[in-house]
Amino acid sequence: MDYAQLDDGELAARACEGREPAFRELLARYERPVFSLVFRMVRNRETAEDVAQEAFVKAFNAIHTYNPSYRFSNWIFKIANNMAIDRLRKRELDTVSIDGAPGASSAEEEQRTSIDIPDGGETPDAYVENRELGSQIEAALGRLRPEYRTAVLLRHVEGHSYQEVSAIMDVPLGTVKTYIHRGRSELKGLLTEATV
Amino acid sequence: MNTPNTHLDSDTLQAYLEGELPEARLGTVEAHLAGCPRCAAELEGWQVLLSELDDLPALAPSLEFGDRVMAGIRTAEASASELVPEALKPESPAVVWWRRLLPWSGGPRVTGSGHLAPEVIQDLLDGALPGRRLVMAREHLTQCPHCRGEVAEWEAVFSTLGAIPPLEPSPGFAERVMAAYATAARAPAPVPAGLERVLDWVEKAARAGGRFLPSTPRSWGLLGAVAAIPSVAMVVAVGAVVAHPLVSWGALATFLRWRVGDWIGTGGAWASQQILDTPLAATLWDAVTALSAAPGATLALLIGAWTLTLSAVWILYRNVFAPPLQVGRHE
Repeated sequence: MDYAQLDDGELAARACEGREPAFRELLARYERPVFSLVFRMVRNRETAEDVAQEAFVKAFNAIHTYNPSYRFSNWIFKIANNMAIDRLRKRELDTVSIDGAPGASSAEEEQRTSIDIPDGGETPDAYVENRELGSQIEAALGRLRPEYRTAVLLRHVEGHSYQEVSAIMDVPLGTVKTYIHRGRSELKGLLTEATV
Repeated sequence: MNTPNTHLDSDTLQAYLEGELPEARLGTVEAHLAGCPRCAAELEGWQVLLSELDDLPALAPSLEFGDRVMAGIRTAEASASELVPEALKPESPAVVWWRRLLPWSGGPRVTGSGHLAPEVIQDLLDGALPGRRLVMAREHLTQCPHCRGEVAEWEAVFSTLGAIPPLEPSPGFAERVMAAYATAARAPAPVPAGLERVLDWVEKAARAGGRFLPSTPRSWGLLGAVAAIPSVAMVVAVGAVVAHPLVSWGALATFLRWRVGDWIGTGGAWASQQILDTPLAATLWDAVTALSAAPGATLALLIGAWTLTLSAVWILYRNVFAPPLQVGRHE
C-alpha cells in the first residue's frame, strides 16, 4: 500500500490500527512545520526538538481520540503549540532576574541580589541558532508576545485560515484577528525601527 | 432592531434588502415601512446604494492595483499636487451615497485623521475584508495617497512574513520520535508487516463487498423482505402439513428421522465410493505400501515432516504474537 497517496484522515485511521508506516507518513508530512512553529516559539533548537518530539509522541499515543472530521494538521499544531506555550511558561518560572531581585528596594540591594554571568563565548550550536533565527524578521518575531507570535506564524508561515488559527489556539475568531492585527502592527514597528 | 424613537436602524434595513431578515421579523418591518415615510425614504436610499454597489466590480483593482499604488507612492514623493492618478474615475453615485451614510453605516474603520485604520489595511491585504468594506476601502485608496503609502509599507511586511522559510529539525528526528513512541507505555501493539498484508486484503475485500450492501434503510428493508421469503414459505409449508388431520407431530418426527438417516447413509456410501475409486487413493495406497517396506525412509520422512511443522509454528508465533517493533534507536 502506498501511504503517501492517503489523506491525513485515512493515515490516522491506519495509525489507530497500529500500522507503523502510517505514523511515519504523518511524521514525514508534519515534522518540518511542527518543528518550525515550536522552534520559533521556544527559540532554542534543542528545546524545540524535545517539545516537537513530545508533541508527536503525545499525538500518536492519543491517535484513537483524533476526530477525523477535523483537520489532522489543526490537531497536531494544537498539541505542539500548547506544549510550546507550557514550556515557555515553565521557562519563565525557572528564570532568575540577572538585574537583581524584583522586590529590591534600594540600589545596594539590587546590586547585592544581581547575578554576574560570565561570557563564555558562542558555542557552535548557539552560532547555528543565531544564524537560523538571526534575520531581522526572526528577531522581530521573537520579541512578540507568544500568543501574537503563534497567530502570526500559523497565518503567514503555515498558511492557515483565521478559523483554523482559532481552532488551533482554542480562542474565539475575534481574538485571533486581534492577535494577528496587533502582532503584525508590532512587527511593522520593529522592522521599521530596525531599518532606521 | 428599532432605534429608541422606533425607527428602523441601518442594519435592519440592509438585512431587509438583502433578504437576510428572519421570517419572524419580516412582517413587523414591512408594516413599519408601510406606515413610516422616514424609514421608507431611508430604505430607498439604501436600495440605490446597494444597486450601485452591485454595479461596481469594474472598479475592483486586479493586476494593476499594485502598480497604481506604487505609482501613487512615487507621485506622492514628487509632488502633493499630482496625487490623484489621471485614470481615476469621478465619484460614482454609490460613493456619494456612501459619504452621506458613512457616520452610521459600518463602513471600513478610519482613523481620527480620516485614513484607513491599520487593521483595515491588513485585512485588505490578507483578503479578510468583507465585500462592501473592501469596495469602500479600495475606493478610499484611489483617492488617498497617504493610505496608498501605508498599503505599500504593509505589503512589504506581508511579503517579508510570506518569505519566512520552514526550519528543519536535525537529522534523525523522525527516528527519534518513532523510537520514543515505541517505548511509550501507552503505545498500542503494532501490526507486524506480514499481518499487515492480510489486513489490507481483508480491508479491500470488505470495501468491495460493501459496494453491494444496501445504503438506505429502505433498501435494507427490501433486502430483508427478499431474504425472509424462503423462511416464510417454509413456515407456511410446515404449518400446512401439520394442520392436516392425518398428520401428527410424532408421525412427522419419525418420518424426518427416517428420511435424514436415509440421506446420510446414501451420501456416506456415495462419498466413500468416490474416494476409494479415485487414482489419488490408489497412489496413496501404493505409497503407504512402499513405505512400510522401507522403515528407514519412513522414519526420515517423519522427522522431516515434524521439523517443517515445528518451524512453521515458530515462524507463525514470531510474526503474529511476539513481534518487537524495530523503529530505530535513541540517539
